[in-house]
Amino acid sequence: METIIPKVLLVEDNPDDEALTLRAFRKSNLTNAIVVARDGVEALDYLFGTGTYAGRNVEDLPQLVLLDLKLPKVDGLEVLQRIRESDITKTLPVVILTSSKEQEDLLTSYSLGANSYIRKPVDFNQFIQAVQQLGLYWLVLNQYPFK
Amino acid sequence: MTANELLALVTELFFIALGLVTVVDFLRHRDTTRRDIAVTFSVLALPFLARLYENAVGQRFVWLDQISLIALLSQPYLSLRLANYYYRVPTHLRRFALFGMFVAWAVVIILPAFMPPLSLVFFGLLALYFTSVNLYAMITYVRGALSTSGVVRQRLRFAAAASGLLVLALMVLSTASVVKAIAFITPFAVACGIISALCFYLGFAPPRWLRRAWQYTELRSFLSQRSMMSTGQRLNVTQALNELCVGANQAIGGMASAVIQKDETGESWTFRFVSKHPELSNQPCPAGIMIDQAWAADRPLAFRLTSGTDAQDRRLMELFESTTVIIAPIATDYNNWGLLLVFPRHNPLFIQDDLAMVILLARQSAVFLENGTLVEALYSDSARLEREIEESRIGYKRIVETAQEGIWETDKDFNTVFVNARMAEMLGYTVEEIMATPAKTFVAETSRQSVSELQQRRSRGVREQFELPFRRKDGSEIITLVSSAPYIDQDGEYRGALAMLADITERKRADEQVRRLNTELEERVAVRTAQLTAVNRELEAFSYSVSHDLRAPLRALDGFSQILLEDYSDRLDEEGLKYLHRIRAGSQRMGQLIDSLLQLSRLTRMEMQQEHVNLSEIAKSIRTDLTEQHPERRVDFRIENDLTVTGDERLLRAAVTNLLNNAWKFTGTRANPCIEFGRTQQSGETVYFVRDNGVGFDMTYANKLFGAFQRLHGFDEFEGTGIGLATVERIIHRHRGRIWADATVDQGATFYFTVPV
Repeated sequence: METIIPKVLLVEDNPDDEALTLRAFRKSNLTNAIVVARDGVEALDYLFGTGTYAGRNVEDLPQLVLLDLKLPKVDGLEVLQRIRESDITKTLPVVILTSSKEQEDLLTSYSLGANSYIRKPVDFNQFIQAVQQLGLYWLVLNQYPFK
Repeated sequence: MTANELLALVTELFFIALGLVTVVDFLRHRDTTRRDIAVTFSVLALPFLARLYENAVGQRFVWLDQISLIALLSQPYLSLRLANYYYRVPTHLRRFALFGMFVAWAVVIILPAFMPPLSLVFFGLLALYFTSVNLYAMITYVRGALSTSGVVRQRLRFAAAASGLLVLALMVLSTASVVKAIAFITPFAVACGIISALCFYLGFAPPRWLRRAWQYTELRSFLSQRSMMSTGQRLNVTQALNELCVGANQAIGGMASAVIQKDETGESWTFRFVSKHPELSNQPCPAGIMIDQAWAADRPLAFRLTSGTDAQDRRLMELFESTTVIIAPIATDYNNWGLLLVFPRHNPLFIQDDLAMVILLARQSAVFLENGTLVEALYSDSARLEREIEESRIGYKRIVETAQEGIWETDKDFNTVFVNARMAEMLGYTVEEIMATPAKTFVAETSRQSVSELQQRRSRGVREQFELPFRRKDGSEIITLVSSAPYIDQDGEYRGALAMLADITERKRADEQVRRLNTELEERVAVRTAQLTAVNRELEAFSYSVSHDLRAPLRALDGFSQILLEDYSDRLDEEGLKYLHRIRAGSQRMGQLIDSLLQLSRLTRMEMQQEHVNLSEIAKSIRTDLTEQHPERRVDFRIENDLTVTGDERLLRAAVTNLLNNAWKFTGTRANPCIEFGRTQQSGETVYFVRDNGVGFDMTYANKLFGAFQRLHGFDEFEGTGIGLATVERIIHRHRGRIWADATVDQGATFYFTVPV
């Protein structure tokens, strides 16, 4: 995978949500490749080239991480923390995409350095709208400090 | 002139003088007694005067002899009359005397020339008449003299002697006229006559000096009797009263005496002492005109019972069965003490003497009585003082003995001066045991060192309260709370310490227990709090997973239904498409329900802030939101300004939002919707309200209004989860307020709530 097409890392354990999110991306005409990690460990392995992703070029960072908070093994907040701790990934845009509406989660996420926090609506149409705006902003409009 | 003639002359002169003296005495005093005395002795003097006159002119006048004779013949009756003053003479005797007198007169007047051929019989009868009547008079006087005393007695003795001698003289003379042989008879009779006249004089008109002499004799005996008594007896009022009454009775021959005093009110009189009628003592005295007169007169007065006597006075006389009373004031120069009443046994013949005697006695006694009264008052005062002192002593003793505190007094060297029973009881010793041992030994060993320091502080004048343990006789220890103060005597010298001690052993133990219980309680609270925190955490975790996990399947339901609608609509018929829509609607509604439930549970768990909250501003911002979201609606919002309360702003905002949203929602079908937010007073309480003119509701279901998921309207009418009002109620309750509603179907609804400060 030595392409330089900007990728999106979707960390989501729920296959339904995964399917819906992928569809929403498609519907929004976002052509980016989407890498799916099904738990926190897998996400970290991908980002830091460890475990099943051992040997992966860690320079090849995704353009955006969509992070669910409630994850098996290592939860979303810890993943976020680890991302911000690492020099490589500390500038990586991370958008929290979750069902939780708890103030606690919001506060912790932002204080740990989340770039955005989006609550997954039940209404799929609204979900698609949210993903469209998300993609438009983070993948098209937003400027990154290239290394 | 022979001796006989001289004697006769002297006798004549004596009788004439006696007559003159009595007449002068009468003219000077003019009372009936003196009048009768004067008449009696004038009658006796008249024949002598006539003879003297005849001898002087050397011629005899028959008419003069006649008159003299008539006058002389009236003597027995007059004598009896006089005696009657003193002692009642039986009527028949008086009638007999009167009859005798008239008969004698008749004989003398009708038979003027009977003198020479004097009928022996008539003469004998006349002599008998004279002697018997005069003898009776003498007996009366003798009886009187025996039954009385004092001056009166003296005078009656002379009167009796005079009457007796007169009788003797008459008897001798009449005997002489019959038996002329005895030569010495006439001079003897004359001598009797002279002595009789002298006695009459002394008895009925004694010279003042003689009366005085007699009075002073009486007074002397009275005073000497008193002077024999001890001072105590002399100052005893009852004794003095007794002496006075007895003395007065003796002095004037009274049968009863009484002393009366005005009451403190000064209006009525009370018997202070009554001789011979002790039952009357301290009884009210009937006081009429004569008492008032005597009190006002300031000198002794005599009163005799007559038909005109005042009813009260008559009662007084009847009380003592007397017809006469002598009333004398008992007075010193400074004070009128009371009145002395003396009831003479008989009508007083010599009232002036009686009055003089009574006043002498009364004056003498007044000083004793006054002093005695003062002494009595002094005694009763000092007795009262003693009683009061004793009572207060007993009172203090009782306080000390029954005190629940120990009382302990020590001297400079910390030896016990006094200790009460309670203190001894506290230590398990007897009072005697404590008194016999230095106080320090009772202090618990651990604290003995501090005793000398305490002593020093006391000697410096420090008063303080401290705890001090003691060792009981049974070896156990008690802890006491000591309030100790130095005892400084009047010279400012430190004498020791006085302490009140309360046994606080139990209290200390209880305090200890309370402290232990408190600690336990705190621990338990901590455990419970930890448990609660854990439960809360679990609950939060639960809510978290509810919000997170329950929503995911719903999203799947909705999302995949949408996909089906988009990708497979051509392969589904209309019915199938409708069902898919229903699945979507259902899942979306469930999403809302979950959100509402979460909000509700969050509200009850959230920590509350106390701050000033302006409800008016909140309402206004909600109005702005609502009108922006629904620009097509025109709603008349009326929001009162400055509705400020103290509470949690976020919670209150949620509450007001819910209420205004409801009002907004239920006025949706109205032509002129109006929503009002304001404040009112109900029973002195500030009440806030949200009023709308919406569809209202039936008050029958008002009790379901605030239950979670309770709805009073159908989904097709108004949307909603049925959580809003339950949320509002929880918020108001968390602010310790109340919420209630008032509504009519189609007339609108008003929600009231309070937010106590």
